[in-house]
Amino acid sequence: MHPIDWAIVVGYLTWVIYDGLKRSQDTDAIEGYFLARRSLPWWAVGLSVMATQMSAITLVGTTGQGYKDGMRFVQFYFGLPVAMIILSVTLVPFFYRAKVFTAYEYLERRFDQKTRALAGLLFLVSRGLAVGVIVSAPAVVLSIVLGWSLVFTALAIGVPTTLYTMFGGVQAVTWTDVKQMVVIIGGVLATVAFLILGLPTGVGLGEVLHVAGSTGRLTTIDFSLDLTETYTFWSGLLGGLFLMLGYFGCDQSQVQRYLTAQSVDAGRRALLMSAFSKIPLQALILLTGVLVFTFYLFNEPPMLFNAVHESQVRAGTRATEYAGLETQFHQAFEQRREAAHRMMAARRNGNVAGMTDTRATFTASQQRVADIRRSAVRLVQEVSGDTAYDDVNYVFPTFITTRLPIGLVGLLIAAVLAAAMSSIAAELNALSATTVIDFYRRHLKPGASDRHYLLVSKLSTAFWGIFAMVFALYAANLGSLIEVVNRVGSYFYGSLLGVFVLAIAARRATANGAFWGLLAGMVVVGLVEVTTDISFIWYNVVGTVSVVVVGMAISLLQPAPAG
Amino acid sequence: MRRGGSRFRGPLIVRRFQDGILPDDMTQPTGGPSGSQRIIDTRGDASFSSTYAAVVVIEVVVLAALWFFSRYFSG
Repeated sequence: MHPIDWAIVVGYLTWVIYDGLKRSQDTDAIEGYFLARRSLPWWAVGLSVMATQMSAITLVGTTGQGYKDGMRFVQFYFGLPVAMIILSVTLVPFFYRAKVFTAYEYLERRFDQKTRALAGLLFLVSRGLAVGVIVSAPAVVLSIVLGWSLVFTALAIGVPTTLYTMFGGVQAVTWTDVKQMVVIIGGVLATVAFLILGLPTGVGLGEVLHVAGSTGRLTTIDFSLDLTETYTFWSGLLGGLFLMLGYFGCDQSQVQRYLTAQSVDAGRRALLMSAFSKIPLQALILLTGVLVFTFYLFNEPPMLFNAVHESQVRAGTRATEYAGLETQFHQAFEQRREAAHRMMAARRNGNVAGMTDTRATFTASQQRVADIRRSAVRLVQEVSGDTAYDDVNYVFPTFITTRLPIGLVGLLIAAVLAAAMSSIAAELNALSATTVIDFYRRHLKPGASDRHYLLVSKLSTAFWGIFAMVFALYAANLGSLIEVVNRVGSYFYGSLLGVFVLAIAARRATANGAFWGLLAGMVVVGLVEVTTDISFIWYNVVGTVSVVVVGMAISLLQPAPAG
Repeated sequence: MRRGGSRFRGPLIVRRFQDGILPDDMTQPTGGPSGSQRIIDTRGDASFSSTYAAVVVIEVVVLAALWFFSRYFSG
């Protein structure tokens, strides 16, 4: 990286730490530390909600997905706006007026201590591991792309975030989130501008989009009813609805965001900000990935985007085979570039027959490029023994560091760091809140002073920050573990949503019904995963329905709750 | 205004929230920290009806735009 880019990255990190630590002046009590004394404006909370959801995995992975598969991933978010309306009507006023610190605290009021403890424990286990992955995933990618050591990269992400979250509490989390969202959106828009302005002379944006469209990359809606397919209109609308209800309604890292708002209405507005903007924003990020694809139509891309794996193969016994693939790749790229130019020329000239022919030639040449890349990936898998290897997450960072001009590289690296830090900070604050409010204050030391809880909260944040960094280094070498962590999340959201449905919508539901229903829901999701091929997005529906059915069945066998 | 007869009031669960008729056993503590106040309070809901409608309308418009975008450039 150029010194100017380094200066931008270091300046960004310094600014974030300074700004976060500055907020510690307003955090002298536990309500201020976790809830900002319910004083934050809706727009700041709204941006924080969005920043929390957008991790570095989202930013880097989504652009990579746009490059490789196109925009179909946008369907994943189709259920989000309706979920936000439902939550605005139900859980936002519910939690806000209950004056709770955590979502799980409410479960004790409605059911009993064991249901609260189980829900809190599930959150701590699943999100505690997930925050390690949120540190690990970008650290692995950035360390390879930038040539930094993994430990240094994980520390560069984790230490500043832990520091400002520990001392500044939720105020620091929220206000740095606001600035980080500006950096992220600014970085994405600057990249889009660079990609559009960098098109070859005489080539228009519409023309390259037609070329990208011929490969299916601009397909945004798929109405198929295939339950094994993750990204369809129906899975996004229904499965996504349950997923988003679970995530925004039952995950403390999001619930805590809107509990900091000035009023119930401010909390609602904060969520509705995502309802209005999430799908367009996600479409923009995916389109950025598609535009990177169009950029590489005219500028030869590396055959593989992970340089470390590539050099591993080059240094091994199958280097000749790899070199042969590279020669084929270069020829295939030239043919594809030529075919893209011909296709655009035919469209420009209004040559309808030519358009059909050139389109067929282009898609064949694109297929050839994709086949050679697939062979190279397979070769890496065989040489490295990493059967899950896929370089989709390396596409965008490699593009940033090798193609963007000085200054923009620094801004985009800062944007990736911002995306990682904003999610991590919210998770750390939420993990600390659940640890202290749902366990320490409830079970270990009830009735202590506010000052004591504040100290324990800061120590708890530090603990989770250190845990995340240590686990990140461990997780970096265990690809399958990352998958396990993500699956635990899928078990968790749907089942927990089911418990909250029982809590607020079924007056006949009992504490035992909720507790055993929650366990049963997770078991059912596990069975569905083992015995069927349906996409994980449907697990949330399965979990919610199972908890409600089992929970109500058990409740009906018991005496009705008093009251 | 909140009880406006012509206003769409949604399915049962939404009406229960709007009317604040959830029973006290759902809003009272059962052994944990105190929280005896009524927590279903719908003040402000009415002013959001148009915002909720706008969310739905804009989602439909965005999905339609995505569909046309996809059809136009993929065709």
